[in-house]
Amino acid sequence: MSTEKDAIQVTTIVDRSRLALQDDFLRGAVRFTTERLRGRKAASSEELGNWEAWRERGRQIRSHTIAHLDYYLRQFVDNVQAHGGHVYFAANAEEAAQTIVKIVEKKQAKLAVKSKSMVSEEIHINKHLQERGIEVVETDLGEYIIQLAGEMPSHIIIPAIHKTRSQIKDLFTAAGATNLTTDTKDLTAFARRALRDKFLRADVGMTGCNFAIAESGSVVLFTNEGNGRMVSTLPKTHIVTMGMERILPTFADLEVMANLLPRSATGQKLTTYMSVITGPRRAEEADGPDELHIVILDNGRSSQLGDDEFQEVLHCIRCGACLNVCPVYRHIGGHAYGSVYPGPIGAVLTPLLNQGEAYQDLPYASSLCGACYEACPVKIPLHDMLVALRRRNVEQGRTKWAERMAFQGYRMVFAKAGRYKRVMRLARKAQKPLLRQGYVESTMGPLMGWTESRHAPALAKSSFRERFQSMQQAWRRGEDGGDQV
Amino acid sequence: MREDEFFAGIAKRLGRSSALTTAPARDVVGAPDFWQSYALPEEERLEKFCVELEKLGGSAVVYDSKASLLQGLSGFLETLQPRTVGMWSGAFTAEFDVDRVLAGREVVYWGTDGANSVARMAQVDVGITGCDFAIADTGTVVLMSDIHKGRSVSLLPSVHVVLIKSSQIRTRMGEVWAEVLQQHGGHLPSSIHFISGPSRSSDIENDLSIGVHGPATVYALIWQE
Ligand code: SF4
Repeated sequence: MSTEKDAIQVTTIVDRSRLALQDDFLRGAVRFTTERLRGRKAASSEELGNWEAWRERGRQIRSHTIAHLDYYLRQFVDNVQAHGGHVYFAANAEEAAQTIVKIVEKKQAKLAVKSKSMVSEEIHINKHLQERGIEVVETDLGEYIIQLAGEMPSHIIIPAIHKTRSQIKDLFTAAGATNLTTDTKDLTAFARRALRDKFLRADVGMTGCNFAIAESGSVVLFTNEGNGRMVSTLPKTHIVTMGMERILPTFADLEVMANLLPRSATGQKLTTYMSVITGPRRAEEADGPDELHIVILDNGRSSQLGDDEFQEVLHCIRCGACLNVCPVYRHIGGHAYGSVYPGPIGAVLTPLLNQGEAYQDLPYASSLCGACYEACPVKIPLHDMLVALRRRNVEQGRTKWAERMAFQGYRMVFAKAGRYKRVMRLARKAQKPLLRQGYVESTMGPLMGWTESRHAPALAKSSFRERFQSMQQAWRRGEDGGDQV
Repeated sequence: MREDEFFAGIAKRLGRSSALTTAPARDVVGAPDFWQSYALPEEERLEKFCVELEKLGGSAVVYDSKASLLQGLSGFLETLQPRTVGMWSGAFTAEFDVDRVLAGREVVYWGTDGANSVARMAQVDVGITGCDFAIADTGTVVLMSDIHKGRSVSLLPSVHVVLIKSSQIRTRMGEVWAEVLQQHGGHLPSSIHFISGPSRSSDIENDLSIGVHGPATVYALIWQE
């Protein structure tokens, strides 16, 4: 993992969530969208029928492909090259970015247009290109808004989910729009005009890859706006960045993913455009790129292969369904995760792809309710992985000092009855200054994590043992056991 | 990173001494059986295609002869009054006789402007194309690019008119792939586009907007043979 990503991770998930929770609009927007996406997914998967059979088929296909990734990736690469495409391999984010920079510089490009791709966020390609004076323009409407705002996407399907229309109007006005209203049509029309000009002038088009088909060497893109088509049609050079796990063996398998992905992502039966690109344009064709470059990225993915607990994370088709159902994501939004991939998939994927200290607190941003697994179109057991990651943190001694001390203390106190009794008697005295109407209220000190946002019940004045003793004495005296809390 | 190292790394993690070179056996390929046997009769396919496309905000009109389809197209252009019309060239034009209803209009035929083709198509109001297949299940048209069938014609103009023969409509996507692979083997055209309705986005406060980058109108005229 690159050190520059470490630098971004300066706060913990708790700090970032606290920030997000203060932003009422963000919470409202996230809830609105995720509910809407969830509702539409339910409707469209119900209409399809046999959703469980489709999910199981999706799982089987992804599982077979990843288990034989060496074979299918080889087949894909050979077919790309047979069609005149160039293929590059990158061990990490830095290498991928350098490879792309080299291609772009060789073309002496001034302007690059991009369609939405999470992998390109992962390798921070915009920053690398901009540092070399190359203009990079995001062309997905949501990404364009985010880029103008200088922010990171907060949802993998709807990146600008947290922006209001008046904020968008201001951003567009700053970008040169005049007499703009906050009407969606108006805003969209400005983006269409502004970006059309960029598409036509751009030297390089950059896309991700939803699926790479081994049997033909094709790159498949699912988009709704048409910017993916623009970017892969108009500029002379097309650069694809893909995670090494994006492979599918055949087009027959693509039919399954074409039924699962749009439904899970946006509740559509199929996205408006599904583009299948095989090599650069043919010699006599008057549009399409002259050159097609495909950069295949590892960046921590291959380390999951052969790992019983985590190999399945490579089955992910990046649909975002697990975000939409996650109670934690729905409260704190995407930015709180502080990583490229938010939500349950982000909480699993990010610490796996980035070994080291940063992001190791993400697996705790989950209530382990399992809704993510239920929603996942390829049945990835995300909740099990979250538990496994927490266990790994404990095994590697990566828990907080206070937490470790607390558990050690717990073991010591609970091991001996006498010790337990003495400690509880002490605690009853110690809690006195914090008591308010039978509850412990404290916004500082060691109990803060629990008591800052809710009250802990006070310890009873006497323990059950003590009460039981006095009840027994009372019974012997023939009295009713008194309720003496 | 070097290619051989990249592959050696994958093979090693998967517990193999070198990368697999023979196709692994598969017990399941593609869609579940119930889906693979899903095939609507021709009449229903046509109807389903129209219903699905309309749901997406596109329009579909069925004509019982080529002559009436051309009349429909002529009427549509009469209403829209585009300054320029762009069109696929080659066999498609002859097959539908489109020229007959374009007399008196400025028409840009794809590929006839050489290096300037894209720039010219960017100025066009209405793009007219045929299709290679259509899919009833999703209201989709499938366009495969070649020298006469430029990608830009269905992409750059604000209005996309697509002429379809009812015999081109299949029930589901899988049938299209089977036929494409049979026709082309592993050598697919440089691009194949599955287009389902007009360009759309919900990126501004979840409010649906149409025609973000691609065409805002998709108008399908179907000739029922
Ligand atoms: S883990 Fe599953 S639900 Fe989440 S993004 Fe990946 S495929 Fe979608």
